[in-house]
Amino acid sequence: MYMIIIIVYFIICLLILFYTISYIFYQSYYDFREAHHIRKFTSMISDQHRLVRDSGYIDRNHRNLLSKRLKKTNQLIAFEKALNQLEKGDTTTNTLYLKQLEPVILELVIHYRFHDQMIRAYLAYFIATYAKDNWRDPFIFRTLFSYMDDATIYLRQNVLLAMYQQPDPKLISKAFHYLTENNLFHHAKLIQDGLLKYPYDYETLIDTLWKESKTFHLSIVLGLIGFITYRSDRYKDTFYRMLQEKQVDLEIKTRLMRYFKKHHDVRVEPLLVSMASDINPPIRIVAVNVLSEYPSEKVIATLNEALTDDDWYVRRNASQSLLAMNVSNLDDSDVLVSRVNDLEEVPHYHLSVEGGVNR
Amino acid sequence: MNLLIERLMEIIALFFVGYMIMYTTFLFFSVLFGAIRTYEKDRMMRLSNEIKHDYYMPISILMPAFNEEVTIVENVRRLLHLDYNLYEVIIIDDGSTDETIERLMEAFPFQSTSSPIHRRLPCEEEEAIYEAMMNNVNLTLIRKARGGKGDALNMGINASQYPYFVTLDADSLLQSNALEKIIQPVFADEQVIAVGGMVQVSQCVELKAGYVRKYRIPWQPIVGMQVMEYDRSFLASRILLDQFSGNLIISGAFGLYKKDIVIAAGGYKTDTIGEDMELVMRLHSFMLNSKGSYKIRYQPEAVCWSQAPETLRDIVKQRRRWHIGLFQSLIGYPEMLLRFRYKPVGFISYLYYWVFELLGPFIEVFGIFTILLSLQFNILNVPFMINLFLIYIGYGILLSLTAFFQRVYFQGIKLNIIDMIKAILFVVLENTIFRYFLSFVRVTSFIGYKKKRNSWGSIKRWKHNNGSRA
Repeated sequence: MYMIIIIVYFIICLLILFYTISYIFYQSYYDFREAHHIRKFTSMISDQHRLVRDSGYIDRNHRNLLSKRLKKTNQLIAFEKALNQLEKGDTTTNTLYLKQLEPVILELVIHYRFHDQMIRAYLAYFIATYAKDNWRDPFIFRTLFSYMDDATIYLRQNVLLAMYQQPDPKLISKAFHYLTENNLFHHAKLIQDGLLKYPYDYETLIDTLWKESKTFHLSIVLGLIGFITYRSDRYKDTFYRMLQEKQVDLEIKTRLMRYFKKHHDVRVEPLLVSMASDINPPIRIVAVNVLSEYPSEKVIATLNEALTDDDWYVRRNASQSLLAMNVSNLDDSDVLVSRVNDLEEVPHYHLSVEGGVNR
Repeated sequence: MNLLIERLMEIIALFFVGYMIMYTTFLFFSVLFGAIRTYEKDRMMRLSNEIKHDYYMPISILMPAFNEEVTIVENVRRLLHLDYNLYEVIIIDDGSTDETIERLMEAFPFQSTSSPIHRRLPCEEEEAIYEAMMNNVNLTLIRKARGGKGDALNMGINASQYPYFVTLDADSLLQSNALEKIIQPVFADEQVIAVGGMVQVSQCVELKAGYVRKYRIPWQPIVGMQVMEYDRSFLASRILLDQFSGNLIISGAFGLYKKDIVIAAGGYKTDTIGEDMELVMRLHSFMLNSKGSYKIRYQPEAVCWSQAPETLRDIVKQRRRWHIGLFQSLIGYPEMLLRFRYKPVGFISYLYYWVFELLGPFIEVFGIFTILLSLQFNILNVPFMINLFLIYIGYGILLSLTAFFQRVYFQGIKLNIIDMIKAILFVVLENTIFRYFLSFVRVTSFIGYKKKRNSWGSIKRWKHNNGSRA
């Protein structure tokens, strides 16, 4: 009995070993074939570039050929690599060339619907890489959207990246709703940095998304606020009103506060001053940090007070903020002679090392 | 009386055979899952199924060091050129008695500072702090009183400014994309609190700008056999245990942790040898006790190259330490089985480490000894036992070779015929001699272990010089 089990294992493992070694040889062959395909595509695309430069149009046969060949994943990979190599050259010609491939892409998104998730994710990646200013047909993106059903994180991310490269904000909003409704986690940082890649009218995008923000999952809202912080100063009123509300999620609140570090608004100063003594340490930490952009006597007094806070990070941020303000009478203030001995370390360090009076 | 001994021997032989079957079953599933997962991962990378991102999470790299004068400068220099946007490097010198500090001060423009360190975790006092900015990377060097590796890491956590930290041995080299790869599970799943990277033997590679330029298996049998051993461990069992977030070890040589969770769990223990395993066990226990959803992942694409011992004396020292560390970690968390017996991490991982890793060497040595004794007295079915044992060894060879070749394609390594011959030779040696030698070493590791409870392991280091030894 034991022998039989071990022999069965032995045979299966032998098969795995053969499979592994065969796979190595297959990959070498695959790489060789891929290099060959890349060379062929590069030459093909270069010919078409010449045609585009001469006549403005690509050869119809070339488009038909691509429609057929790019339905094979390995050909699509080789084509992408060839495009990638050529993209460094004449960008105008390449844009004109890619624009004329839109019908091919339309066919591909339909064809790839029936492939597995990894392959669909690759097509989404391909579209995300080259769609900007080239392919705008809503059908492409609506079909891509349908890829998201039961998608892996990689497929979702690639589809989202493709969505950010088309001009209709409503489709992006729809994608966010889909993530929310299906309770699919997508990291706030991925949302924020993905949105930052949107190449069209981002003010419209912001307005469209923000209108729907209450219906989005928290991580999407956080990413959206981060995106707005980088891109727009038109949200001072909205965010100011939100900051005054009591029932705002802590993470959202701290992100809103950070918005006012980048986009100065005098109305927020008293609010931030009061937040510097909030019972919640994260609020105090961010408040004293943001106050560095609001120099006034009241703020300096608040920050001085914060130097004796129980929380180490509040003290650290308060000292950094005081230094950022270049307070001229810092030597006379309580910063250097902290009221509590064991709290001296932070301001002293920042003064001497991080660009304070000694530098 | 003879009949009694015969019966006893038969029971022992039966137990030993049962153990071999259980272990081979585990190895079988390890390699099967390893094969499936590496194929899947390879395909994922070819099809750009990755979270590629321009602005990753900032990461603090913590490098505890004790008497690392030979390799530290070169290794820190390599850390300044990783493909990652925002990270800091914190070197914690744990009271070195050699010229570790002097070498670092000569090589980098360190300035003494009085940077305050927020002590969220207890650790020995710092004696001096130095800072430098190179290649846009903030370098911090902390000299502190000796307190052990766990203590040095706690100091590093206290001094770090970013929400995630990576631990890295001072003799280890990171592949250029290692940080980018190790953070990916965090983006993919918010429940991830720690990620283990793949550790490989650095004597095999020439790295240039963080990329593998050349891969050669060295001729030294001790190193070559460890290469095969690492492959089996990192490409088989860890991948299997990762299916249910059940890894109980993240190698101290390269792992990523969420700082807040580690601090909440109490940081590194300072009175243990296997502080890396102990921390992971505690994270499991902490999260399970607090009923929090969490995942501890293993990311084989994140590669770190670490020096393997080159002498028998060093490997004996290292394995003894590891085994004691394993023992300390396992006996510290009996609730993993008693309280969380219905969780896979309890009834699979915890039991696996007890039976196959901790007690395994004892069972193997005892089993071999008993079989030899039985053969001597002609009690057992000799041909059956010899066949069984040979199949067992052959099976081990097969699995190790599979794991090795899986890594070859997974890492895109180009091998020549000589390397393949070396691989086969070392796999055979490892499975027929080395494995049983190490079992014996591990069995004897408890002799006098209390005296060296939290000491650093001291293994002779060699300078990496584009892969060759200086």
